[in-house]
Amino acid sequence: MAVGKLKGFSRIARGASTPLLLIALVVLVTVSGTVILPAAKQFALTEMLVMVVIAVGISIFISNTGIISFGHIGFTCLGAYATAWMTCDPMWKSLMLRDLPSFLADSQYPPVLAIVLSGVWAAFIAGIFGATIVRLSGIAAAIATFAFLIIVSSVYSNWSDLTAGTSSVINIPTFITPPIAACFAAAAIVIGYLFRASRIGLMLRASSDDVIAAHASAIPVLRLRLLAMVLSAFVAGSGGAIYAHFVGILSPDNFYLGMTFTTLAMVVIGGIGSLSGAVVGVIVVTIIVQVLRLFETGVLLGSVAIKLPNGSQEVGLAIAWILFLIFRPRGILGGVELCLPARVWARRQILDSQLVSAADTPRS
Amino acid sequence: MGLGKVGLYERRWAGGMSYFLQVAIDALSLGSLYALAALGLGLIFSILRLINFAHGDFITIGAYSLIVPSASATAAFFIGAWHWYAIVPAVCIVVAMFALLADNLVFRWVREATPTTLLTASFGVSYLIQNSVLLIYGARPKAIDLWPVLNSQLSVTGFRIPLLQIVTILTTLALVTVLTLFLKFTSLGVQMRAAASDFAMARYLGVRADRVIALAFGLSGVLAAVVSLLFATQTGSLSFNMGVPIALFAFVATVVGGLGSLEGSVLGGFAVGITMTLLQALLPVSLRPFRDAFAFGLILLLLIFRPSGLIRASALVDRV
Amino acid sequence: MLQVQSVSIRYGRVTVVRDLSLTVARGELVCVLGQNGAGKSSVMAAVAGGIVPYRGSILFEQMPILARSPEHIARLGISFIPEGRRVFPELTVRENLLVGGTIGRGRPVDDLNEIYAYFPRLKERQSAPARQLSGGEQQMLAIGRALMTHPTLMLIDEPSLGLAPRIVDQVYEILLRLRNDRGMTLLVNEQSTTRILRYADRIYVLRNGSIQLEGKTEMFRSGDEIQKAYFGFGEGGPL
Repeated sequence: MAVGKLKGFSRIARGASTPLLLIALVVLVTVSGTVILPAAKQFALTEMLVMVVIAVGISIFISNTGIISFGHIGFTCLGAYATAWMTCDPMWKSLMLRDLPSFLADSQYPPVLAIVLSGVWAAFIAGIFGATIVRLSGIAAAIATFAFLIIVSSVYSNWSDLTAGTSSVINIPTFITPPIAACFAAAAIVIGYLFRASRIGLMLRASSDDVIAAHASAIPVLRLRLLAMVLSAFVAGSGGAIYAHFVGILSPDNFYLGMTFTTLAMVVIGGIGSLSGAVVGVIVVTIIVQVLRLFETGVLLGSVAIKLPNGSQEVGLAIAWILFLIFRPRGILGGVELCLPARVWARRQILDSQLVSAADTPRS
Repeated sequence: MGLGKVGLYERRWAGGMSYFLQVAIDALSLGSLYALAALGLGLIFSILRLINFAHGDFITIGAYSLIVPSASATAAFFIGAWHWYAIVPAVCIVVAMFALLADNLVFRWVREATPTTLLTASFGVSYLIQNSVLLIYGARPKAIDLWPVLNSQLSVTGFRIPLLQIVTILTTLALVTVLTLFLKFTSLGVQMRAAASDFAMARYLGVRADRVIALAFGLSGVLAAVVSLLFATQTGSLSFNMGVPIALFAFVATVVGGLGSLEGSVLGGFAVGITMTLLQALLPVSLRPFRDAFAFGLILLLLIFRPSGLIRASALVDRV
Repeated sequence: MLQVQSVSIRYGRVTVVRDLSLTVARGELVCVLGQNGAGKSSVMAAVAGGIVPYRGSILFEQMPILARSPEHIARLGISFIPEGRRVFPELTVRENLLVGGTIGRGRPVDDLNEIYAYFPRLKERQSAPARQLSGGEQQMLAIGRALMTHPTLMLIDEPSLGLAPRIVDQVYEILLRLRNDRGMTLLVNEQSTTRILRYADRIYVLRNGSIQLEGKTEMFRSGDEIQKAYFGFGEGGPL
């Protein structure tokens, strides 16, 4: 037993270069962004860091269970509104959000505490929802998560006395600056890594390859999936709460198909199978979107002025998504974790690409 | 005379017997619309195991093809200005072509992929189409007036029934019948059914995969086009995501009826239409805005307790 | 007629067929013997176009057919009946046969009548959905359906699987008739050899993806050699 624990610890320690690398990457991007970018663009930098939290949350579920979830932005929504309930001015709440229970309506909680509690709230809902869907097969589960997103969106859009409906929730205390967002991103990465490297994470990934064999090895697949969903909801929900404290204004429309697509694009383009994929994906997609946004406002190339019509960034992102799905479905990192030493990473890449090309062999 | 342009759910119903008749016609008409949309979804799924999220956006394309591309607030008719028996085939051709384009540019390249990859691919196509429409036509909904005569009411033995609803029901019956005959009695139709049953085996027998798939997308496009015309006439308004609610409910309908079964899609469509109409009629007013949540709550329950749908076993259940 | 040359097939990282070569001459009934997982289904699927080997070549009538689509190969005259028969369950018997008629060399009705002449039982049940047929009837249907494509070479994967011995005999009688009356060339996969030695002209024994033994059936009267090749040792065997 002690030996097992020691093995587990050494496994986690061996792979620790991954979260360290990722955090270093995040720090690098944050620092260089704060220094290089004009004040107006700091917004985009902070937003990117908040997205790292949400994307890592999603990745905790998708990369470990192999099930695609279209519904995690529902948890993000839950978390965002929960923190708003906890931290908005009580006078405003009593006016606009009449259905709030008194322990929420009458008080104001410290924001950081509220963020954590929001994550817990999202995790709680995930526990209930997850318990009902864990036994569904891959595609049925994906459909179920989509249903969840729509239910959350529909409820939050229409229960005006709880959420102010389609008019916005305003005056949420904002305090998220790039360094603070980076800290949260680092925390999310650590959580994501610990789960992945733990025995639970290992067992889950093994069973996502072959559910029947997993059952035969006495792995409690369903319980582990539920655990993954709960943890991922915690992180995604906290991400939503952080987002709320970042923008200061909330509306259920923010947490529907648009954000779902963006965050999924980040995870897919970076590489569905790994945590590093989620982080790298956020950075890459943000760069793509920012470049397109730049072209939307107009760019001078030599003597030629290029201005893309409004809406090009979404179209561009959609095209990028489709191209990646066709030509590199496993994403930029191919599902492999970034790690040191670099030659280990390179070897993993080669093995992985062999797998991919060999898997192309059968036709029908 | 008529009630003018109304949304799907806002109606004033007279009381008594005619109330029941109106609810029944409402239910059938709504069900017909969903049945057509679900059939379009089901055709693609049965052959390709692809859940086409973009189907709703095909419907949007059909509606937008009626007007001249421009971002201005007022819409000028393009195809919409033609005679009705030119509009219908024109819109059908436009949407069918877009459906085939989607297949050729995107879906063809992910044929061998897992069902979830296919799902995400169609999600991407949907996002692409919606934002392209947004880019070209602008975000503001546009008002159009297509076939105003259909929004008048017909007097049938003293009851007043909107003509559009009758047309919807009859059109659906006609299309479903034609499609059934096609699938049952033509060579291509039998090939399609064989491909839906066991694609690989059909190919071993010489059934041309690309032809069957193109046919499926083409038919799906035509069905989407018909839905778009009926829907645009009904609501009198175009917006870049107008097809999304229909597609969502069509999707619910295919799951309810059993993914992979065409009869299931049609029956599922009617089931959803009837359920939604009843919910609208019976739910207390305060709960009515949540009917989307109810519908998808039902779908969740169905997935949990009867993943094979109401009609037929299908691809959703893991087979050991 | 058919030449499989040094073909290797891989699923992911697992090699299931290794550098395999076999030939089938016109009018022969050749049998490939092997246990489950020996690779015989993969070879057949590769010839029919359902799998692409990563190495080797396949020639049909001197024409290379590797990596061609299944529908193209069907039109060249190769018809594949996979394991388990795979009739279309919701389609009627008649419709199943008509799918075979897709390639459309003659008039479908004439072809149908020819098939019914071979399989009168199918004519009786022509309007029944295929899933209602018994195992033996489904096998007849699968063969009839394959015949509708006017093949010159038929690939049949384990025709005796799940069938009662009497039915298996009937199936093989039909195959023999096809060979003798129509000059059909047949490549048949089997696990059990009891019957096949009576019908086959030549056999190959496959184990772990490569050929252990091959030759004319008359050379293997005793069956010991076959057992050894089949299992890799002398004990127990398919006979």
